[in-house]
Amino acid sequence: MKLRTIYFGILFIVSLCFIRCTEPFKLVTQSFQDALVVEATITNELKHQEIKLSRTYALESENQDLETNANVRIEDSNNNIYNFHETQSGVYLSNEEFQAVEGVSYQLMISTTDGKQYSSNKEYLPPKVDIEKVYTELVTKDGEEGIQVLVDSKAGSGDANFFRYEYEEAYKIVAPAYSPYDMVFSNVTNDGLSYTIDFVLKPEDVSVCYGINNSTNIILTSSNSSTENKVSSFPLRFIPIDDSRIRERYGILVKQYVQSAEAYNFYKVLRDLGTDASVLVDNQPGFVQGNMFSQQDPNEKVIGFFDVSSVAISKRLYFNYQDFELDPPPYFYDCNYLELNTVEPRSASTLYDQVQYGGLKFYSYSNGIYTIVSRNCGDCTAFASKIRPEFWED
Amino acid sequence: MKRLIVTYLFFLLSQICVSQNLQRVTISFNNVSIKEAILKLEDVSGFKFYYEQNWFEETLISKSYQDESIGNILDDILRETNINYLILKDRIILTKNNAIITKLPLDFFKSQDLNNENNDDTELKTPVFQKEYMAAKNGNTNVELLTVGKENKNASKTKFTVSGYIRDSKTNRPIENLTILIRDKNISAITNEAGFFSIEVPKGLNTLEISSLSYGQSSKKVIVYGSGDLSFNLEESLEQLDEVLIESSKDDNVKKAIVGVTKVDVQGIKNIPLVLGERDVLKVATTMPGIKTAGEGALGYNVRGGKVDENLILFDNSVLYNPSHFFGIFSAINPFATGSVDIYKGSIPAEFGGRLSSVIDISTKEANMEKFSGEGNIGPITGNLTLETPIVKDKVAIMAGVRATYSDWVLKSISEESIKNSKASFYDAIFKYDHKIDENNKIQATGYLSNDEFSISSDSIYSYGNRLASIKWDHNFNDKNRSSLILASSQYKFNILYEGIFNRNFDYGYSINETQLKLVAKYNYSKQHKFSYGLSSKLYNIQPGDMKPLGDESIVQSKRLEREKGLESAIFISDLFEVNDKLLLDIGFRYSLFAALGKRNQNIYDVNQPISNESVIDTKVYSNNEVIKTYGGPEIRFSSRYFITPSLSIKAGYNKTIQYSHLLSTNTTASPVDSWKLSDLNIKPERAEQFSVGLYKNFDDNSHEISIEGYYKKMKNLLDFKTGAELVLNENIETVLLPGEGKAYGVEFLIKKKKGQFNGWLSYSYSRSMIRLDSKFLSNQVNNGKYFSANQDRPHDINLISNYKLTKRYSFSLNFNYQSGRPITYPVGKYIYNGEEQVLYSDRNKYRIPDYYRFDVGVNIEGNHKNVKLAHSFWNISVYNVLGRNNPYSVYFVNENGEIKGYKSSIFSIPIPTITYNFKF
Repeated sequence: MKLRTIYFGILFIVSLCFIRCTEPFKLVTQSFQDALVVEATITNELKHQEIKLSRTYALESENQDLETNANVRIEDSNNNIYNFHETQSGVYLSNEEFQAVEGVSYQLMISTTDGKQYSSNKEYLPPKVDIEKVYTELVTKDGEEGIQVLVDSKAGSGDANFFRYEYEEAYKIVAPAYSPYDMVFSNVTNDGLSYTIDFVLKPEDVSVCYGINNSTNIILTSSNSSTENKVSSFPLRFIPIDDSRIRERYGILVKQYVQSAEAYNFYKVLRDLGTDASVLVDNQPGFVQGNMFSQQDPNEKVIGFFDVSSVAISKRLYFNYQDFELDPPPYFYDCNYLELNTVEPRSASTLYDQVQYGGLKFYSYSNGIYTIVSRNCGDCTAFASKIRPEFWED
Repeated sequence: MKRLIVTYLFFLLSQICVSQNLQRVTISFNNVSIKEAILKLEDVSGFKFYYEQNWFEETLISKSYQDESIGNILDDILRETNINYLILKDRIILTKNNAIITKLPLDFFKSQDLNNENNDDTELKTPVFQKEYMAAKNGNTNVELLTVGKENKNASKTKFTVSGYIRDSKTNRPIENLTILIRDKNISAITNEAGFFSIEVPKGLNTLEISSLSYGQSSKKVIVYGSGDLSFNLEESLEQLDEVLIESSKDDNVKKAIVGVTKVDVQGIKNIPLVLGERDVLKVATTMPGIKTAGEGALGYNVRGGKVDENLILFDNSVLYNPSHFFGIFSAINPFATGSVDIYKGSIPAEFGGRLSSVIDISTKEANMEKFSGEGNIGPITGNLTLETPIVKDKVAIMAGVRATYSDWVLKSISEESIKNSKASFYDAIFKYDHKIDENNKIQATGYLSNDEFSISSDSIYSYGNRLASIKWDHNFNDKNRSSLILASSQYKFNILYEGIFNRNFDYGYSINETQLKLVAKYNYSKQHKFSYGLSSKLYNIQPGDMKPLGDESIVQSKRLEREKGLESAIFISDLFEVNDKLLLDIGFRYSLFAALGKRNQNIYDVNQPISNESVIDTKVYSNNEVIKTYGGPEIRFSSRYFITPSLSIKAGYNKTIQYSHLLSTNTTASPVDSWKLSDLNIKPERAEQFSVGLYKNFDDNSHEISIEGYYKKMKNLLDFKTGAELVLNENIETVLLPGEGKAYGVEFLIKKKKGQFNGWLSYSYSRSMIRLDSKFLSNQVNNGKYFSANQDRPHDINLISNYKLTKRYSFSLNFNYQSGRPITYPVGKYIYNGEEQVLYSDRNKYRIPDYYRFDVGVNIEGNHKNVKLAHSFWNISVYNVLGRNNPYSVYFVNENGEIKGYKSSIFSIPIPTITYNFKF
């Protein structure tokens, strides 16, 4: 009897949320602090280098506040000045193409319209390290099966220890319920109870589209604590096996930046503060000082790091689920097929309303039954672009 | 009810004594105090009066009586006071508040007369005492008459030394801190931890009064013929307190010189409801003012605004580096093995050092020398069993205790996704050996082991543990001199094992070892001066980080930081100086010296630049055991007490401390995988000074305590770090270090009711703890170099611990706790960087998480009170956080799919009911 009592007590506890209940809450600005945000990475690529300027904005706000009409230039230790001009709000491109070279220092100078001047520390280009290969493996990570994209770098010089990665993924989308025909109604009477149906060929093929995403998270690694003076088997991107992106064909391009220790540390602190890595223990958050300073007020908080890094770009790696003998992943959206006839007045009315106003698309017709489907499944341009990227290889 | 009986008895007795009452006296008092009047009355009437001097107020009386009965005279002069009297034959006993009964419970004393020499014929040989002896014997038959010593007819000595041991008659354990008093001669002594006392007594009849809280007050008539032994046993009489006279001597809080000391009543805590049924002595300590934690799941304790690494936690003299299991939810101290817990938060005795804020001195209890016994409990998470047994009766005994989690089912059964793959388990074990070699030599050895293992994700396992060992030899040279020699060693280590699916598997370990040799001696020079002195030396050996690849495929480079070695030594002396009846000084002086030792490399930095890897101008190489740098300094430990009235005292203290070892942490709360580092060429020791003052008052025969204390503390060279600093495997910690200055101040209030059906305490503290991280270099400033709230700054803290004993079997308890929320750094804006939302944080600790409050309730049901039974048992049913308040523990912000999300987490956000079964035999 006593034992049963204890057991009951135990069960009672277990059924409740016990240790560290976590719940999201809406961020509300208690007080707002305005600061300039500088996103500037110049590389060894010969191109119009790009610098983005924005400002902090309220926690509740959706809209980024951009810094426009600023005067932006980079000065190097060879007394070259590269001026920038604003191509769209907050985005500044260098007037001419240039590339960063080793042994030369670069300094970013910004004057904003409110009359404030900002400058960066002088930065040098780290040596370039090439990508050896980008490859995939089928793995199980925390109980979830997926395709892991990994990177190996070539061996670099001793000064190239800090790596930051970006990737650009592209994938083909094929609408699962595509019909080359559209349904067109005419002679509509009685609010859509009776009508004539015509089938017209679609003006263009909207069955195949392409999605392109850029990485948004900060991906870093260092070869400092590694036995080899290079990056090996670095897990860059994990795609679960049921991810729709590998349903047709998936391609990934990897950019490998070699950074200075300071730039790496800046990105690392930024990343760590935004990652809940541990249980019950919280990192001390705070302002992450970059290398940009106000010339008028050294205490003014300026966000961002003027990063001069060398970049290597991989070949695009393509694969899909069949390469790993997996089941086909589901489509991006659930397709709701609606089968309707025109004999029944209610059905006929639904068909008209759904196609005309509900945005559903015609899929097939047989034996007096019309099958219509949600637009995302019949027309991939509903959510993606049908323009085939220049780089795409089938 | 009891009081009624007492009164009734008193009434009866008054009737019996009516004949004496009628004795008539002629006397007059002219502007004399009551005390003087009593003395005069004693003179005139021939009655002997018994009373305590400090009962009387300084009011003066002028009266005169003509052939009046003594009873009427006393009625008259005591009318305005709260003093009762009782006339027994030729003696008059005055009592304060209470009425008196003449019968003590049967076998209240089980005394024996151990000195049998010539006992039989003492009467014949000592005609001097004949009258007194007869008087004593006839006067009050329930007070036993004892004799001590052998009379030497030719001796001219008038004073003799009476000494002996006082033991509990049931357990035969020595009784410590028992006061032996010869009231009319103003002679007193206190038993030491061996139950031993020694007292200088005048020849002839003496009345020894013995008092302590648990053994009540009693008196013995002793006829002293010469020096000799007087050992006897006492029976514990907690429940008889109401019947037995009168006042307890548990008035240490008023009496002692030391300021800011907290004692945890280890036995008393069983009635306090605690989460998951774990009795936890340190958690109870946090309900006292000035001792806090960062939250329910936080490791360590913050004492008077100090950080968690500033407490010297001693477990039988060995340093316990991590006093917590399971992220601080359980303490690592086995409650059944614990004898006493003393927390010094204001004045720290000179014998202790090496930490800034406090000393938490935990002693295990002495193993039962009498018989086999044990104690255990069964709770939902852990089971605990502690056994004690004598090996050689009254000489050698051992105690062993084990506490462990049953399994990690708790975490396994949690539905929350983030911890589903988690597991956690822990155990701790203690072994103790007690050996009484003879009256003057005693050895005690303690071993302790704790281990925790947890994993949060499926690929990593964290483990940590303490390992302690100590041996102590107590030696009495003579009545005035005794010493203890202590050898204690301690180890703390943790380990992170990572086994993922890629080639980055590793095994990372850290360990700190220390071994200390310490000699403490006590010299009771005189009643006025009691000295304590000694020296200690401690050798540290730290493995600050060892990274090893795991498996052949791993590309992780094995890396091992250079070992750290250091020697911390100190000499100390203190004098407990009783200047007069009212003023007591405790003057302590400690000189500590730390030497960082090689073999190591140390960087030397350009002083004109912020310390960084770029500003290294030289690297010095030190060979093995070469002194890298020494630090040291005097540490004054002064405290004083002044009696304003006998139950009201004022105390003041000044305390200086130096800390040479530091916990490295970039977290807002401590973690079990934070490492300790010694001071070296670039890391200076932390230093603190504290001023404290307090007012203490006891009421109603010390059953109520009230105190108010204030303190101001200044700290230097506190260790803080740059945002996002990397501490793991960092060879040059100084490059990310921000040395800080701190100040803490506060007022602490405590009211305590120690006796009665309803007991408990209420504490409130207002305290602040501020830190300043300033530097001439902008990059090393936090909040522009101004003072800001430290992470442990929680200004308001209210605790109520209450217990109501309904019957002997049932008692109910209620806890309440309120605390200001801890400071946090909150976003003041967001921005997009690298395509991802990020937040801009406010100045550090500018905001607070919401206030914390919690109610707990509990019921204790004692087993039946049959006389013959196998074990004494009780059930404890408690509900923690009965209101189910969701107290946020932390607030944090994470990036999810490029967007910033805010989360708040809490530890025990719902009522936690628990049933535990406890037994004792």
